Amino acid sequence: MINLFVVLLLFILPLIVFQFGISPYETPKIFVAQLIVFIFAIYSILTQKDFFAFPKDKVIFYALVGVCILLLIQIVVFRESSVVFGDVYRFQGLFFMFTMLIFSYVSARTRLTINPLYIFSLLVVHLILAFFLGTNEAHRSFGTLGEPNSLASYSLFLWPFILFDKKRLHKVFQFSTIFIVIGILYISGSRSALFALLAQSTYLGLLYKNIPQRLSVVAAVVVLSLSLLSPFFVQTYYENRADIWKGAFQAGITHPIIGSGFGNIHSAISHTRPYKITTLQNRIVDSAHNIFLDWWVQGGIVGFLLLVTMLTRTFIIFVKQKNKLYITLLVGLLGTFLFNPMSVSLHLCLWFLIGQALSKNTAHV
Amino acid sequence: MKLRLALVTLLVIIFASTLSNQVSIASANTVISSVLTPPVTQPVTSFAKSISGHVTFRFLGWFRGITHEDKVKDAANVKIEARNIFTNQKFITYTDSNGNYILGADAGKYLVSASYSNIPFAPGVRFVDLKNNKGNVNFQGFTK
Repeated sequence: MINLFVVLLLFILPLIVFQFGISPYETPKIFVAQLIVFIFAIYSILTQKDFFAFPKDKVIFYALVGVCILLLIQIVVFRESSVVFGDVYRFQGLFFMFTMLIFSYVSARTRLTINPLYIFSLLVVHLILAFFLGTNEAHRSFGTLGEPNSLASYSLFLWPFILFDKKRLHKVFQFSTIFIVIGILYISGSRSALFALLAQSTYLGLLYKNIPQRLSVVAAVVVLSLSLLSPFFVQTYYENRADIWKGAFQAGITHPIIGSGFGNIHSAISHTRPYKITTLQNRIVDSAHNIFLDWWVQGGIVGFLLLVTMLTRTFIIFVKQKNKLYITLLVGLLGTFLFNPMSVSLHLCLWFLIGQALSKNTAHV
Repeated sequence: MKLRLALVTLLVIIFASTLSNQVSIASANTVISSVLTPPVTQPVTSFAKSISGHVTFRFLGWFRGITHEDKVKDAANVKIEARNIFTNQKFITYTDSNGNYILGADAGKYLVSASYSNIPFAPGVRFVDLKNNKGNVNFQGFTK
């Protein structure tokens, strides 16, 4: 039953599209996700005997508690609906963050079991729907995720499940998966996903050459770090990330300790001086387009360090477990989170992985 | 078991009240068009507040008809501009096929106007003090 909740949130939710709120692609997903997480939490509290047992990894647990405390402080300090709920497109405010934390904790005890053939089918469905639903103004496919980068990132989250299952699936499926993923990346036009795929490939390639896990992970992280230089050399009118990052960094300095509040990022960035003299002068930026900068602006140095702690510890645990699947998933997610604001579906994937590290679960596919 | 039930009760109260508030916010920002709307793709297009309304054309002259339905039609592709009176920052959108529009903007004081070809609109300009989402900022253009 618990596995069902996780499967619903990670694999069915991205397909949900119906008219509600401003975006039929994002708004319904948020509400459905919050509802399912709420029911999941109630079910876990009432049925799991070890729900109140101390998780296996104390570092991540205390970091999660730290984030909770930070959110509670922000509720008291800011007391604005925009902070509690976030903007009307993404609704990624305090309430959203609490939902992610709860999901991470309750899903920690889940050992994900899913048939990789189902994952393959999902990939095919997403590719077909991406064609069917058309393209945006920049001629990029967005699929049911509603954003090209989210679509590409989600495909990078799916394909390792097929790659690492050698027992049940014929090799034809594994070869086909690579072409499907490349196809999705091509029609979505996501450069960040390309960097993420490169990082995943670097990690897997080094593993194949029997390079130790730690060095392979370090190499993947180096690739991701080098990719952060690209916006400073390639800039477009709509997505001037170098300017957004500068503005976000400056915005974080104005409230360096606890930040401007989760959900309050757009007003924080819009008041920074570097932002006002850039090509984004007459536009509103609703995200720093980098998860670390998002947490820096919204949570200050406290939030930033808590995020770094959780992600670093997650990597360490997966390396110790030699959990290649989860490392590949995390590298792929981080690669796209470094450049884009993400759909709720991808946030759930990320917090699921953190939850798995919290209870030191190994993947079972 | 008592602790679990207490925790569940607390969760239900907090979650239900917060989610219902969130639903009301989302509902207030529902796009009126019935077809799938463009996705949230451009990363720089999220606004904290919105101005919305309906624009119509009123056709002058007896030859157009007598009834209200003959005389007044929904006005598509009308340019709606909101100019912040202090910063001079402008936000622009266009009405859809039903004459409806939603214009995202930051909180502030705006002069909102409609324009389409050389058609005069009434009112010529509307003042909007945007603290929360503002609806019914309507215009009517006069043409033959």
